[in-house]
Amino acid sequence: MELSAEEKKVLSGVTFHSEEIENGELCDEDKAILENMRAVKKYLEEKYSKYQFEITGCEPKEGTARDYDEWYYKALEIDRDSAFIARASEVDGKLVIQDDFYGELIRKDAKEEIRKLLTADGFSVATVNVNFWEYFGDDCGQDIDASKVLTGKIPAGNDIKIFLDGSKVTGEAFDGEVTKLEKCLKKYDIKGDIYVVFLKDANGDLVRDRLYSDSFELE
Amino acid sequence: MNSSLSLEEIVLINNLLYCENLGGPKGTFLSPIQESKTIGDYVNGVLRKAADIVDDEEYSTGVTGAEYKEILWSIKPNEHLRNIIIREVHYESEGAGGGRSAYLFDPSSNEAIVAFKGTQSDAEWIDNVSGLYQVPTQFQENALKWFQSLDFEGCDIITVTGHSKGGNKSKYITIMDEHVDNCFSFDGQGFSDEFIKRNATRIVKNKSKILNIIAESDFVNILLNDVGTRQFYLGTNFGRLGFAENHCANAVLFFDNTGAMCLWKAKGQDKKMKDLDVMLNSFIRSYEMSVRENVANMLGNIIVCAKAGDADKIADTFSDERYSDSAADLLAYVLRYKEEKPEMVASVREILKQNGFNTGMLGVIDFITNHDIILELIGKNKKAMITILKKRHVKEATVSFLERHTDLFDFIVLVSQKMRKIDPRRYSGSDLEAEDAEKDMSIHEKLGISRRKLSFIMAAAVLIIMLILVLVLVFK
Repeated sequence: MELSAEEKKVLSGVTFHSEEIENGELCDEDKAILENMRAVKKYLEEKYSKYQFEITGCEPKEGTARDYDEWYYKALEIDRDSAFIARASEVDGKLVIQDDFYGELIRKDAKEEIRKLLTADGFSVATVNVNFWEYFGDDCGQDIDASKVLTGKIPAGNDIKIFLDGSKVTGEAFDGEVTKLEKCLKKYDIKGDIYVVFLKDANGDLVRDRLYSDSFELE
Repeated sequence: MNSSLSLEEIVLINNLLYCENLGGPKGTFLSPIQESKTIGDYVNGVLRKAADIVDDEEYSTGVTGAEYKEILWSIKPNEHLRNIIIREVHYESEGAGGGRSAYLFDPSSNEAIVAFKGTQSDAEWIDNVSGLYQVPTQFQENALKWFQSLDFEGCDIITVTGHSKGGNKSKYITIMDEHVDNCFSFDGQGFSDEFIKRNATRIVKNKSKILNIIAESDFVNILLNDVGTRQFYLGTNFGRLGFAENHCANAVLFFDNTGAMCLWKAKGQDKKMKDLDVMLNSFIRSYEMSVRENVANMLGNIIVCAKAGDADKIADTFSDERYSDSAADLLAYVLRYKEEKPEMVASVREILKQNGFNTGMLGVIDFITNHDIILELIGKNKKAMITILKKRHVKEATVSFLERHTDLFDFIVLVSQKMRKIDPRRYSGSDLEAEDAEKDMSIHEKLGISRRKLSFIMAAAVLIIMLILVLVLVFK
């Protein structure tokens, strides 16, 4: 059986049969893992045709409390240290795959949109981070629209972190600022978990220069 | 050591690393989405939806929803721990994955805390056992590379920690990188003789920074040579997973009436673990580094099957041509070792009891397995043995298991043949200290031959009795 270097590397990481894998002599169990690996790669490349993917590893469900395998992957066009994750589980004898890559495609737009509307309402924004809890299958994700996600029309489990310049808050009335921020986001129909941090100034370190933090949920 | 964290806080952080899907995806601690939040934010978020956490469901191996809630409630009043910020979460992307970790920051002391999650899936045992034949392992190198990529600017203290394989990674980083101030390895395995020898100077220099926090009956820390100070703690041993539970990250947590968590120091390592530790070291030393890969894979396979309680697969491993030779080596070694150190039998009995096995037959098994001639006789007469067992009304499940795995009889013959060549007292079972890195771990003392001779005489006598017994039972 012909295996690519990538396949050999990943399979050797999840089974004890490194010698057989090197020689392409796979047992049935390893063949099943290989088939799933190829299916995950094909799924990603078909769904996101502008990108090339490399499967870098797998954490099979065996020995965990999960009912799905986790496939670690990276997109060659994206410089990111941490791996992306696709989930694969068998439902009625069919492999069902879901991924988190859509978040990478809309993150920039989503961040920009939040920053723009907050700035328009007078907030002094240091930085914004947006993440998504949901994993989507091949029915959703490839041409996803950031606005639809932010407003909850596509429920992606939004997690929005807003870092504001605390030096602009008079008398350290952070509570009041958070209330104003909540009203502002509601006005634009933003949905998700909102985490607000006031930094000592606009260039403050996100970790070391915190003055105050709070969170609320917009449903 | 200058960490601002208490040992209780270190252990709680290590438990947080395993929190996954508690009440939904937001209940996963090691997610990049938690970055910039504090531990308190995470804990409050999960506890707000505590009703969605199912009490008796296992959310990570051996730890239920109710136990996780207890852990989170104990963190809630701890302001120091609550204010720690989750700075970065990392999913290993190189070298076949395998590893999740977090870079935390304690603003009260400017302390960076780099925490590594331990083995979770069966697949990670491949790397766990690769420490037997690789220096360093791929996952150790990945962890070091990620650690060295982190921005520690403005940090006054750098602390690394981790449970299980995560503990091993944190020790590895402390040995290899001078920047680490403190290392708290929680039930982490050790390093091979070859690693100790190759890195003796670094180990001597950095080992004072390492504290091993160990559950008294943990069975992972006993793998290979430990580095640093060891402190043992009492285990709660709830018993759901039996023996396997001794390695769960919550095994050392005790909670008082107010819900506060505390650790209780133990007098020392559990005796049966100490015995196993010495035996394993001695067994591993009986192999050259260059031929250990197969042994490691066989060991890994057996551990994974044992964890899953899959006796059929363990039997398959014994008869699999890839592993049968090294598995026979291991079993022959254990049996000969047991013969030389009979106190091992008590340890095995206790471990089996903890797993709910009936140990009534252990005395007979112990006797038979002390004599390779009897073993060989059994192995060469599979049909007769199964007939005898049936006639003696041995449990149907046992007989049917043996009928399904008649290869095991050939395996027994192989074991008995190997028993004759093995001398379990040839290699020391003590941990190799870096200061003694040049020490030869083989023991050159003259072997006591009288015991062996006595064993042969006994075996011959028993053989005759057994033969008579077999004939009587078969032809009754």
